[in-house]
Amino acid sequence: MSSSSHRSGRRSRRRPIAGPRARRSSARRAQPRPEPARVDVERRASVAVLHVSGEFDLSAVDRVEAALARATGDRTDRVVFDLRGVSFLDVPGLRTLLRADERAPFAVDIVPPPGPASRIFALTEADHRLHLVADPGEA
Amino acid sequence: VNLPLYERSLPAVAANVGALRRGLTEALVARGTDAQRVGDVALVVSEALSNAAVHAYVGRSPGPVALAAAVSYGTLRVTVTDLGRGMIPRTDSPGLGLGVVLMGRLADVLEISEPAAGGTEVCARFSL
Repeated sequence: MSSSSHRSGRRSRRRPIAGPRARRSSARRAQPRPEPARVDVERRASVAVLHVSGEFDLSAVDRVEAALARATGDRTDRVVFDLRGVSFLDVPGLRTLLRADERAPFAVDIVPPPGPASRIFALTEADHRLHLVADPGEA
Repeated sequence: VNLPLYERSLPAVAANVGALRRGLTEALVARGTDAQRVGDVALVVSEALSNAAVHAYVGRSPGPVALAAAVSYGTLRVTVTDLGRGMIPRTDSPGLGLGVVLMGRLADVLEISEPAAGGTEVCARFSL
C-alpha cells in the first residue's frame, strides 16, 4: 500500500512537458481560481487561537464557526482570531466575528488582516465594538 | 461610450461568490483601476452576491445570480441580479443592515430594486 502511494507521489511531482499542452495548462492556472479559507486551531491552556487564512467570505463562514465550536469548551476563557493570513474580509466574515463576540462566554480578540483587507473594521465601525490586537500573544 | 468589462452568471451559492468577485476585480486590475477603488467594488459586489446566495432562493434549489459591469464616461456601473423571491421585509431586523450601509458608503450611487420579471437587482455606480 505504501509503495503504491509513493508511486502516485512521484507522478504528481512530475514536471510538465514543455510545449502547447504545458502552455494551455499555465493559461488555465492564470484564470480566477477558488481560494477557500483555511482554519488552523492552536490551543494554549485556556486560550484558543484560530489562524484563518485565504478569503474570509460567505464560503468560509461555516468552516470558521465549526472550528470555533471544536476549539472551545468550558475551560476556554479567551479566543483569538488570528486573521493575519486573510487576503479578503467582507460583511459575512465580519458578521461571524461579531456573532462570536456577542454570544461567546469568553473574551474574543482579533488580530486584523494586513493591508486593505482590514478596511472593513473602520468602514463599519466594528473596530469600536471588537477588541483588535496587534499580536495573538497580546493579553 | 459603454464598454462592457465583465459579465458572468452562476448558481447563487456561497462557493460562487468568490469566483464572480475575483473575475470582476481581476478585470478592474487589468484595466489599471486604483487599488482602493478595486477594494471598494470587491466589498460591494461580495455583499450583493452573498445576499443573493443567502436570501434569493430560500426553500428551493439555487437559481442564477448574474454579475455585470461596464464602464461609461469614467463611471463603473455594476449590477448583481437574481431571479429569486425579491426583497422580503424582516421585522426582526431594525434599521438598515450592516451590508446595505457598507454598500451605500462605498458606492457613489446604490439602487436596489425588484425588476418587473421578479428577483432583486442591486446596481452600484463608482467613479473611476
